[in-house]
Amino acid sequence: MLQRFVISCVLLGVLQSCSLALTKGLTAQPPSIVTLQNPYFADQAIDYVYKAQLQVYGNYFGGILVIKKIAPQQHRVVFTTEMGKSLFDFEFRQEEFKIHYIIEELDRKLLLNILENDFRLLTSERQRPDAVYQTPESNLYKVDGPKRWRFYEVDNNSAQLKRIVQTSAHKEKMAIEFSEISEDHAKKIKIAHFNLKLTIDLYAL
Amino acid sequence: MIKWWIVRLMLLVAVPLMAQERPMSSAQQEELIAQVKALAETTTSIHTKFTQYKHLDFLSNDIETKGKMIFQSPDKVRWEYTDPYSYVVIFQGDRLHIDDAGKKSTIDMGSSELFQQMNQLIVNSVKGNLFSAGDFNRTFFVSPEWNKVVFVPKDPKMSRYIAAFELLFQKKTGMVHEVKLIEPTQDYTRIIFSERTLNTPVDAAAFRH
Repeated sequence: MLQRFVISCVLLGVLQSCSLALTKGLTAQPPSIVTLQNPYFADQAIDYVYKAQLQVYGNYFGGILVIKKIAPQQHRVVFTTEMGKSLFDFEFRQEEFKIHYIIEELDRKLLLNILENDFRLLTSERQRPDAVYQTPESNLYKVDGPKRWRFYEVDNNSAQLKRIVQTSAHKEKMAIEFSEISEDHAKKIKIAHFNLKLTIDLYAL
Repeated sequence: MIKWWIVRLMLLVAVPLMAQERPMSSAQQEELIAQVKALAETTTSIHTKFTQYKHLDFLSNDIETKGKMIFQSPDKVRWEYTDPYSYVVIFQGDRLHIDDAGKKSTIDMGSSELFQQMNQLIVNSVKGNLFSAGDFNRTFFVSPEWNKVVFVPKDPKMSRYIAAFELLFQKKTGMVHEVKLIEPTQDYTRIIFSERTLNTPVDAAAFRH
């Protein structure tokens, strides 16, 4: 009897630690759509220019973030100081990542991995969802990945993409929130990491 | 036939354009250096507006920002962006005070050689006095409208940060009309000054932070 109780407790513990807070109490269903669109950096005619505010472990930095779709499935992402000095200049092309320029002080592998991951997630346009979780307010589309999962939260009323959450099997790792959206342009974007003290706030200029 | 006319037309346009800017003679160089030095020596303060254009080759339009700049001799500079965002940076001795729409911070430049060099560059380009600095290879050009000096950093560490720096001087006054900062990627930032007044009193609050 005791043995069964212990096994039950252990199992319960394992199951609970495996479940994400994001989908707690929700049931996975087959997705109703084949592809999912992130429309916010998809127009080649637009120069997407944002005032950026970064909080890194209690330190504050400001700058200008420029994103431009230069060809199908190809984006340039440039970060400059307010006075115009470029700090980094990246190019994303499908799975490729090219560094056109980075100042020495920022040329650190760990930081580059974070920036590559964040901006790839921010700019990648089409996803193929593997499951959907429904709530009264929104649909959460799950996209499986090799190490990480991504959840795309689409608002039921507006049909707008509100949030992208990247997770491991157990934990939310980072989230991108889109707000003040008009005509497929998100005026306000917040990128927050949960395992690092790093947030990036973007305001469209 | 049409092709030939196009070539002729292009030559007609291109030749005067090339002729507009030519290298300075050494006498002209000395004259410019003397003019700018004399101006810098008598300048106690500068109040000016500016428009900044950030050029990235892949963008459809340059990013345009506007603001005001105050310089107080010998080394205080207040650089304030007012449009399309509010951002103030005060260069004062070894310190850099930033007010980013109410978020204030201070950077101690003493710890960074690069920051010190950038600060020197900003203060000296505002004053027009970059000639005493031996950190750059200089090339002088003259056009009917402007005198131009191109500065290329000698230090390889610095040249990974800035490929070149150009100053356009008003011929008559020796004042800096435009600053152009060229990145190692060949993208650039142009800052054009307007509505400038010299040697008027500076509000003490301008350098408070």
